[in-house]
Amino acid sequence: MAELTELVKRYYDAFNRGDLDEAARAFSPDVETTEPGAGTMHSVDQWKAYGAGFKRAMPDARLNFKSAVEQGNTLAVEGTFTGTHTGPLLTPAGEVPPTGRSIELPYIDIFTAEGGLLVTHRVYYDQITMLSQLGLMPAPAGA
Amino acid sequence: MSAQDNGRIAAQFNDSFNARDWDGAVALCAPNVELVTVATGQTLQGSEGVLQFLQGWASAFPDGKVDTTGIIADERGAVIEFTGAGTHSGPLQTPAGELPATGKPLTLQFCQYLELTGGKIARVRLYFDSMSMLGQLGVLPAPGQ
Repeated sequence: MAELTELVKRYYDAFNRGDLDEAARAFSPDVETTEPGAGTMHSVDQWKAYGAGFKRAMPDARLNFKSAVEQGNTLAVEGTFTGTHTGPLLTPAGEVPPTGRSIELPYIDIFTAEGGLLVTHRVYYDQITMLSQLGLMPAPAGA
Repeated sequence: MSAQDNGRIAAQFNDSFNARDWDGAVALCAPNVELVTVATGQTLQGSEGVLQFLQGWASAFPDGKVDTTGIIADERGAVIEFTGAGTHSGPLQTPAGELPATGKPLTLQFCQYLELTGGKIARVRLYFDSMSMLGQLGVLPAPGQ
């Protein structure tokens, strides 16, 4: 039980240090990751490339563990993603040069584990909150 | 309360939306409940807040229903994942203000974090991606404009 929380914290710590190889060791090679910006990814390599994109855009990017609910082999973590946009950021509209802005993005991560590795990972956050904090999002038309 | 009770209460809160049973929803919550919609930053409180929170969605999506896809619960809280689907037929609160009815269908993934105390919902934080929502409703501007 507590092992699942420890596993996720190891992933967070490694990501925060910028050690994506170590972060990836928490996941099964065929982990299924679903998140708003990328849709569904089917391997840890895809996830790693995606995570590396965020680290390139925000080298100080951190996953901050706030609270969690754990049941059986499933863990939900509520946290904040923080970082400063000092490198190129890939968005659906193309690459955005550094804005120098900082973000603090609330999220929920939901993990399931099998055999000591994370096998599914679903992420919930609001992309407009992130783009607005970066100064990249105008008001929606008609709103 | 047990994890099982907390999970059941999280599911009942969603069921009360589907049944438009506002009294039932209020009864599941503590008198000083706080409800946060993370994408808009809106924070609502108390029984009036519960009504505003749920009726806001119901008036924007009169045919709206939620379908629970997963519940994780422990002695202190519950996290519920669900799909919401409906037709946008009334004014909707968005991160950029109120959006008049577009008549478009919406299917969106939601995740709700509930803190429970003594068998009552004390805090609710609702997560969803408003970019997907506004994209489906056809009102998403291109980023960077």
